[in-house]
Amino acid sequence: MTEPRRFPRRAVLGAAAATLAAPAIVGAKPASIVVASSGGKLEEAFTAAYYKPFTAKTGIQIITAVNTYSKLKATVDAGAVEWDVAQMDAAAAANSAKLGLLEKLDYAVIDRTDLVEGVPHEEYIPCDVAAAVMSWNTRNVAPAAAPQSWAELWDTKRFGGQRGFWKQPFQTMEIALMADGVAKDQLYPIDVERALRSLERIKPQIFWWTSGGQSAQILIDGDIAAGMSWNGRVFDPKQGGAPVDFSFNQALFVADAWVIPRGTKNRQAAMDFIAFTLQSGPQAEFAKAIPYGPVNRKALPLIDKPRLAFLPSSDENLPKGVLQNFDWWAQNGQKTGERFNSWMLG
Amino acid sequence: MAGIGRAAKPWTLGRGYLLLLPLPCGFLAVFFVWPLLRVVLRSVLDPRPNFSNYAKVLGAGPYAHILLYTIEIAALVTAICLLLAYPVAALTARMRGGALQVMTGLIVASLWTSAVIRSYAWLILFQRYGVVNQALIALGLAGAPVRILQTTTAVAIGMVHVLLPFMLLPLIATMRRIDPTLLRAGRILGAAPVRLFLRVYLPLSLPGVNAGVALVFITSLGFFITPSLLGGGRTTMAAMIIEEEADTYLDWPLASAIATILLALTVVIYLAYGRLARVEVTRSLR
Repeated sequence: MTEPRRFPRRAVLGAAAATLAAPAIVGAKPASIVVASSGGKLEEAFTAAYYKPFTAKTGIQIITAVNTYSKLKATVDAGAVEWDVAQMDAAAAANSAKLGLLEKLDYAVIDRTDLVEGVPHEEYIPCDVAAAVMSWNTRNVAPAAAPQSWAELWDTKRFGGQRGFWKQPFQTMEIALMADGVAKDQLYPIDVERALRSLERIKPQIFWWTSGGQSAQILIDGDIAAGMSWNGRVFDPKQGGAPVDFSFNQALFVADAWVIPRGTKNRQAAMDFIAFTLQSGPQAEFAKAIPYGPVNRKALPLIDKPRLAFLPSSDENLPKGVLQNFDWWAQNGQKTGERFNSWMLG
Repeated sequence: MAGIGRAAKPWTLGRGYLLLLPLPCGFLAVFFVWPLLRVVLRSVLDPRPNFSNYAKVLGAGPYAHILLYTIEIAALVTAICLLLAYPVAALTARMRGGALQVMTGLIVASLWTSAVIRSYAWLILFQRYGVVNQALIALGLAGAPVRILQTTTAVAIGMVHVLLPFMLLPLIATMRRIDPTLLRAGRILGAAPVRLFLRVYLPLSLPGVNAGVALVFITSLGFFITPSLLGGGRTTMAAMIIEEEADTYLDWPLASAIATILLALTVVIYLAYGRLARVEVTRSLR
């Protein structure tokens, strides 16, 4: 419906922009770029590790925005892009790429030589490594019963109580497959029915959470005995003495990714910004501010040992798990979600 | 009724007032009717002009089930709200002066706290080791903590809490207008309390009941935060699935189709209820 209108409007905008830019030198730096993120602690870490140093180095100010996903589509479709760079969940980034909402990344500007294997993609690039980990409440689960694998977490004879999982097929299905004995390098393409059969075995014990905050809350308060959490959500409570613990065994590594919305006026500056954030120095600073691992391997030596133990992409932790296949979800997410929802209602 | 209307001189709009009318109409046309029309159009035109989105929603997938559940829980919440609010409203309507102000103040004050915060509060209360479970165990009503969260019960309680004022306020407004001399007349004519209530008070309060029911039922249909926080695997409501299609998969045509069906169902139910209620009111007033 928006298709026929898009091009004339963009052409008008483009012409207007060209007229405005005419007196300036071609390729001149913009005074500022807009970077959208999910806010909160992530944005605090971005500000300390990326935004401020980037502004200090280039003079380009960073204007922050909230990365409402549907806004990406709305603004790109209308030819009125508001963000120059956006952070989003890597699976969402892959989906946006499939829908044609993103600019191609310029790997002549972005240096990918030291990045973790499997990270660079044509239209999006993960900028950190987080993990969906097994976690448990140490009051509800005796130390001897603490799960070392997803299969042990599934075992209701090992310890009783509810198991908390994300009410989404992404990540939950990979974990269900590992619990059913699928090797971590054999997860894709996902055997949806097998994953559901695995979840079916503990369905009455599942507590479905819908937000990261909720997942931590129910774990700390003891509503559930164990389950899946994001490492960033259980790290602080554990450090603060809450009765929670977690393990990177069979972790599913997930990521935030940078994308450039199609039609941005500051494509070059956006590319420079992304390239800057992926350098070892800023990557190390980021990982010190929030417990998400760097994607640049050269950042690891810049981080102290105790901190590395909690980072998903450290040399010690990375081999324990597997990186999520974002493109599989971009291709199959919706129909898998439909099946997942039907199963849940049944 | 018609006789009274004819007797009083009707108030008419002056020409000056009529000139002001295009402003709100224009505002609604641009910011309500047009976007709504876009949603309906998108559901039949995208990705191709046909009814494939509707076929998908009404087909084998989870969507029809979720729409049905949404109507069920909205009806349940509306019924509970009505049962709880009716006696409270009847008492409040008889209050005068300070007591009435305090009561209305309490009802309105609950609207000042957002539904998000109130739903979170229930999340804390309903926890496994929360206040509600502790009370149940202390009273001997439960041997071990009961699972309250993740159930329709939790969702219904949370929604009733948020929506009760919307039932109370129209009820109180209507009940305050009931002429007490009518009740006295009924009593003098020898009507027993039950008969007095059924034949006089209840029929006169029905306009308030209808307004409250419509307000609560329609608002219930669009609930999002409360069911997603307090509910579990089986308590997915329409707004949640619309949000998921729109904001997780960016499938706006499908989201539009679900939204259009929800809108159509709402209108149909509202019209059917309106017709039923009108018949009921006229019959009981006869």
